[in-house]
Amino acid sequence: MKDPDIINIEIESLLQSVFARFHYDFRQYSRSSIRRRIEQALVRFHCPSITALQEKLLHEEDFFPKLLAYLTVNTTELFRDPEYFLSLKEKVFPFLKTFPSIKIWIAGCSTGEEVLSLSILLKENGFTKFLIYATDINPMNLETAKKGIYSAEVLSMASKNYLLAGGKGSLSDYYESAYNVAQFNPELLKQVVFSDHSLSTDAVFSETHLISCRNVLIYFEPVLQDRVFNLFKESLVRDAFLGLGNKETILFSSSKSDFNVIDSPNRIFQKKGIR
Amino acid sequence: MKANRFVVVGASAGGVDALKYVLPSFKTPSDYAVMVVLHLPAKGPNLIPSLFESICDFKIKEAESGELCEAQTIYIAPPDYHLSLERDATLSLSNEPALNFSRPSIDVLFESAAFSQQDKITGVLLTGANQDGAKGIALIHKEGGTTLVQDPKSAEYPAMPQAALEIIKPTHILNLDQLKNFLSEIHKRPLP
Repeated sequence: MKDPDIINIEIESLLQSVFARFHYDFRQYSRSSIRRRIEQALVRFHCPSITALQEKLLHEEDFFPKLLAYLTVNTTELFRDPEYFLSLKEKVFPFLKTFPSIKIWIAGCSTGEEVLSLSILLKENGFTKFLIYATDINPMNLETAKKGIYSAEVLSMASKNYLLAGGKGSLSDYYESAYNVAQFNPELLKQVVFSDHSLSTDAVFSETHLISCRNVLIYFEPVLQDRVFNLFKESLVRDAFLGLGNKETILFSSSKSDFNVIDSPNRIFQKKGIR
Repeated sequence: MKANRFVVVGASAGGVDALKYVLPSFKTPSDYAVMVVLHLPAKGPNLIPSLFESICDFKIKEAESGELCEAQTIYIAPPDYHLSLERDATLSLSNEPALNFSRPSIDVLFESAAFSQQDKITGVLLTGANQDGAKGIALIHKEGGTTLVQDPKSAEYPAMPQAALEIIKPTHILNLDQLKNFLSEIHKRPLP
């Protein structure tokens, strides 16, 4: 048997253990990416093999949260892809205004940058009655997100992107910086409910008017992507919106016919109403 | 038709000119699909597919997440995403951090291809001013694939092919004309 075959057996066994013992399901994640992340964990935790990592996982108390941080990709930034936020502001917000109150789900919110970004834009555009559900599978990410504290290094890029996203003031109106960190105004997170939720195993928890789930589905195999689109379909009220990452689409999935394309380059879709 | 065999190509500085040589080499009918990582600025549209469309026999497009690799098609990695080849011959994209200061990274594509398709892979490493791709092409070599490295003497930027030659003895070291000849006949080679 060749090395890659053995490594695949070890990966399957590790992911099965993670699922059976900790109820996190990575078994339908794209294999190449999960393999790279496991390999990084091997280096970080000084394990000579994936089997050794599995031994640690099953027998060492408190090891799993450390591994979990390696199994998920947390690339995110404030106002990342500003055109996306601009499109939400111009094409989606006017519609959301017609509801007396709105609920938004940011699925896979990671360390919260997108939550803050959206919260700022909602306030600037006169939304007062809204609730954001921000979910992620990693509780450590949620703890970071709740603090609203980010490295000051990111602020110059974030300020530029805030303006490109249609921001009406200056990003510095929303934070205070000291000692190389920026503390964002806690008011911005008052209408946010952070919650631990897995797109691969958990169910829908609320009706929503907008779901933003960006650069999460690229890590899922097609069967899992379909599951997630079904969850979203169930959660979204009629004529509600779905925003994806700029290389993700609902158009390859079985849910394709339930959505209209609102903005193709910015990957914004609208659930069809009853006709 | 689903592709049976795969060529993965990595290029960095000087890469556009080298690809103008390499990508039109592939002839139809063929059971090959081609995946390309070219280091490009992260922002802005990907102009590569339209730039090469008129000179290639193969169809050329930007790779999409979850897409099944079709024969006679060239897939270009989108700017700011890593591209991987999976075991079921689908493509996947990822926002993992840059590797070798690069996203997309040639190593990510080459290693995923070597892991998932082993001896069905031919790796082609072209001009560049960094070290990306060296580890990846070494893994393709180890897993029984074919490895083609541009002769550093013929490369606009020799550092990248040179870095590979420091760790492996590839199947062939070729200048661009020789590469063109090799790739134009590749579909006639026996299946592994």
